[in-house]
Amino acid sequence: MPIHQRKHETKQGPLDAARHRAKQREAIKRGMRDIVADESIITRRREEKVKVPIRGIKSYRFKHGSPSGEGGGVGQGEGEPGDVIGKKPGGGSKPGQAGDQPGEDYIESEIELSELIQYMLEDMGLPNMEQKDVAKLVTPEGWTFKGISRSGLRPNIEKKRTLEQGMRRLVHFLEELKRETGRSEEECETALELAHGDLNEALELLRDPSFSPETHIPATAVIEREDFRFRTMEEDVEYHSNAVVLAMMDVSASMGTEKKFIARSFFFWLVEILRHMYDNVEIRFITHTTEAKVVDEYHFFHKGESGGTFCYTAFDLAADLVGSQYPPSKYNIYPFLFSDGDDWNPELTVKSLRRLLDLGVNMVGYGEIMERSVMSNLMRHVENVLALRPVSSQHDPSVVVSESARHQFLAVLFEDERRILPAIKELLRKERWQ
Amino acid sequence: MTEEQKRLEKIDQRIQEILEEWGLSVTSIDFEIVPSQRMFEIMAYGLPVNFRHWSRGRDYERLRTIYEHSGSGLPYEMVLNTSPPKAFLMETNPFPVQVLVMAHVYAHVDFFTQNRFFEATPSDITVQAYEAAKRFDRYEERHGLSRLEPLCDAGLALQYNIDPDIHKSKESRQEQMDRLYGEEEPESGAVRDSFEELYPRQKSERPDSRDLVHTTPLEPERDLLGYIQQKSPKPLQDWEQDVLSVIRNQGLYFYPQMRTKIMNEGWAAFWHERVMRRLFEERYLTPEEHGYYAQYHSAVLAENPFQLNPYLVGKRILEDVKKRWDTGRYGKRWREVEDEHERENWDTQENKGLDKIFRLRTVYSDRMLLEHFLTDELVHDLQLYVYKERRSRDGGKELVIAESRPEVIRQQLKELHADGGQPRILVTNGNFKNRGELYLEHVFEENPLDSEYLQKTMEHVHFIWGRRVHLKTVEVLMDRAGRTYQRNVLHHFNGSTHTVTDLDSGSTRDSRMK
Repeated sequence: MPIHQRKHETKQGPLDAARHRAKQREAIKRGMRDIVADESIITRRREEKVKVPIRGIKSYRFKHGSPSGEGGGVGQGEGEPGDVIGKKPGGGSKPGQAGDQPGEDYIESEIELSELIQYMLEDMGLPNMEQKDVAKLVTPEGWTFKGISRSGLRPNIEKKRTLEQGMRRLVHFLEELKRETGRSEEECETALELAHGDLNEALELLRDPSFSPETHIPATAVIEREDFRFRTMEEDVEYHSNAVVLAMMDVSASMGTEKKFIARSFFFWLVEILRHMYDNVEIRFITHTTEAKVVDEYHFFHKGESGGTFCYTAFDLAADLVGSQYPPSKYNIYPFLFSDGDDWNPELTVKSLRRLLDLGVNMVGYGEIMERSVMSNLMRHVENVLALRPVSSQHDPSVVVSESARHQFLAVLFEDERRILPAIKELLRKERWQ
Repeated sequence: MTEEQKRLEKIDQRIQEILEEWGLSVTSIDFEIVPSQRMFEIMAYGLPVNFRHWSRGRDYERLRTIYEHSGSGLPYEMVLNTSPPKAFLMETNPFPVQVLVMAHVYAHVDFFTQNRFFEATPSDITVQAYEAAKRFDRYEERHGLSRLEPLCDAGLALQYNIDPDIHKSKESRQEQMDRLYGEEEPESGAVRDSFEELYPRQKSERPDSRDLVHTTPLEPERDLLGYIQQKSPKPLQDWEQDVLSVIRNQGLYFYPQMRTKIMNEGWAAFWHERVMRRLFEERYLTPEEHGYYAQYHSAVLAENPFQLNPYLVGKRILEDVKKRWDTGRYGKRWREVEDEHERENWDTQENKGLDKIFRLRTVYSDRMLLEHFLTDELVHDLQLYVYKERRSRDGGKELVIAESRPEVIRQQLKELHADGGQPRILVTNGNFKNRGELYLEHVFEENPLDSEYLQKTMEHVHFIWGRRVHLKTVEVLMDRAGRTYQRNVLHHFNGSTHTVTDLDSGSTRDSRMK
């Protein structure tokens, strides 16, 4: 019987795989809230792909469950009753890796972080970030030649463009001469050159039957007054698409692991989104207890600390950075402080906050992770001084947003990690950027 | 043709001779060597060409990913129960693995042609699917994917809620009435695997004929998909009928393979091992090639901690049966031997082993095999266990061995493998409350239905039926002390909300899933 091998086109598989991926993307968008709250994403190494567990693209049918509503089956291998043979990671914010457990229905899909962020941006209705026109800054950088003009000063002659015009004229003249006299190209060139570029003179020469040059003189460009091109001077400006985020976080003892995770997670997404919005986004990380210090990204996202709390130290350090390294004329500046509102000197904090606002930063943000829905002393203080008014969130009523009418200030209060995404959405709402 | 292909053809010839000599029914097979991508496609679609669906794309991608991540992978093979049989060999299989797969596939084809559950399988399924794919494309063009896709989703969800023995019992309503209420016991030619044995039909009093007019179905109907396709009060358009009937036909084609998976893979592994041994002895394959073969062979037969490996378990049961019937370790005489030493050396030299396993190959399904031949000793030797999922201390879940008692394991396996592992859902009333509502009943044995799947599948049924759907089942709950207890419940879905009535107390509650 035949054993054969044919050329095959694999078509239906990839086509339907694309359909499946489209469904997956829908599921990702629906599940974004949980994905954002997934700790394993922010603790991953930068180059790794984000693994997003996606439920919901199962093929449903009637099937058996077990009395406890949980899985099980018949397997094979070493072991006694009571032995653990496999593990499944917990849901929610707990880190974990997929074990080698069964579960055909649990589809873990891998997607790029940038793709994930693209969905978030679409979801937030933010403009296509390719244009990056959200926040361009213009900086004068002296004078420079910017354009070409027919008039100008002699030293500013644009030689190349002028010569081009001359060549164009030459070609035109030669055509004219040939048509008028019926002489050869070489004779016309020689005549034009002998006439120093004067068309009428060359015509006369050629119409004289005795004109019969022995040597051919190649013609050069004919440059007349209107052929001159000049460079124009303009004021030089640079278009900047720079942003700096001053990420500040309270790492004192009262900020428990959960709260720190929320703060870190919030910053992680904010930074990733801003990286998509600007050509150049810098992030400086500041942690504070009773003192503030600039730390690196790894330290910020991974290390815990403890101690007392002076929030003003963070605002002061931020103001110093703006003064020394990030002039508001060149940078869009976003200082954000995350805290649980526990502050030993709210008066001073508000003072430092006002100083930072006066420097001309784009917007100061304050995120507070509330405990049992109680607003902190610090928040109440800020509310009074900056005359904040609450805005109801479009995305989630449980996220409390307050704006200042006079200042570029925004406060977001929320309780758990499921509010991270709505809070970010609220913060980055399109209108706030226009 | 390459040298390798020539060599493969020569060996192919020899494999057929060997198997024929051993008494297998050898049918010549159309082998095709395909690249890996194509192989995954065929596996995902079940057939060389089939109608499009996102779930096939998902499966295709999954196979591809597993293959790419694990590097080599198993010797993938795919054999179609068609006439003539067609088998696909993966291009990347090393030569001795290609030979292994061929030997394996010949045994599968023997099984297809000889096992009674395959008697009614249509032989032109590939052509049917090819034609259907073209028609479905037209439906998509004409009616849009938004109408075709949910219909396919619904049909596929119910693809195995069919009566696999239906080919044999195409009777009219009148014949059915005669059988149910008539005097004569009709000839029962239908092959009934587990279902009829477990739920023998009982003759009942013939009701008033006026009542019967409105009774549908006349008796509990196992072919849920067929019933709702034909009787949907929506009513379905021709093209919708066609879609569902294509899906149902393919269900009928695949069902016998599902209910004989362990038998069939065990049978094929049993024979490929013997054929390969012979080929090495006869120098058709070189000693160098033995390494490759051994590596793949053991990968195929590896233990799986989370599910039964049908190749391994099937083969071991058949080997055990062969040994027992060769040495006379069966029947009354054997059972009465008590002396430990005598038992160990028992051998009546009957050599009936091969006859016995050929008999099993002809008449058995997985459920029957497990029930009758998975002995306590085998459960022990194979290290089988039942495991359960439970919460672990770190908030995740862990899988724990819960049982190793043979009788418990056998019971669990029996249920898992009856009806191809499908829960039994019967249509008991297609005109419930005289309002054309659909009433389904789950035949409860030990395991309840998965509630998430139950609700989603009811939604699929509702999509086809178009009116309220009810499903009676038993819930197994756990009290504070960890003891389980049962409740009879009736689930309802009206097109937008799920509710459930506790039939024991009569209370109804909202049962929306989180």
